[in-house]
Amino acid sequence: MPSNLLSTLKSKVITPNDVRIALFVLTLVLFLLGAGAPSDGGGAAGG
Amino acid sequence: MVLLIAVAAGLLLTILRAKLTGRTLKPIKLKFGWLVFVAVLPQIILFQIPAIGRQIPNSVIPVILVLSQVLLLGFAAANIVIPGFWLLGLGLLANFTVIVLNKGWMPISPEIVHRILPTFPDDFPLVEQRLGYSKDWIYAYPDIHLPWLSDHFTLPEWIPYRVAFSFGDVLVALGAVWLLWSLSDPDKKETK
Repeated sequence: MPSNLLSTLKSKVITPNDVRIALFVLTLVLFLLGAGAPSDGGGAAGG
Repeated sequence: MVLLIAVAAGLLLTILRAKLTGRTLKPIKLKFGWLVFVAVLPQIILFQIPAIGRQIPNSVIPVILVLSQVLLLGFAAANIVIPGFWLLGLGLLANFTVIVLNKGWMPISPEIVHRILPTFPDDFPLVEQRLGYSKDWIYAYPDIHLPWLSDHFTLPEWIPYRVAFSFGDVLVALGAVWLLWSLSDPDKKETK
């Protein structure tokens, strides 16, 4: 029963499309961190 | 940070566009997406985790950086037909070229370092050392190959955040915004 409830909740909140978008954005962010070379490192840390 | 702002702006714009037009965001299928994770992981360890990055000798870093960017160039080439990717690839190619021509580091001149770190005294010796734990190496301006592709742009004075970035970074940021914008395109054909 709780697993059914959890499954229903998940399907309402996070769709497979959302997961694919999130993965796509994560890939893009990683690409930018690797391809870019600003003096601050491009992320939270660095220079 | 500046590149992550481009991602945030692109996401915001495309979500807004999708809401206004009643569309849903459609993910784009990327070829060899795993390659990005493999290529960038060493860079994250080197440049984003100073505790580990400072243990790696400066002689090794250029090799890792160049190899990582070669893999990313391969990824960009494999996805070149996707909107915005040619711009991402061109930006990466610009950064890669200037890095390769400057011994595996993104060159930055002392003048630019003084601009982004104004607390350094003018006579502070900066040349021939790494800038913090970044990909930048400080060269005297005449020693920089292709200086127009180096980190020589800075944000306007009225923006408190101090950072230097390259022409390649600008192209990469624009490509990211374009790519994210295309997520809310009306009838995007799936790219295989």
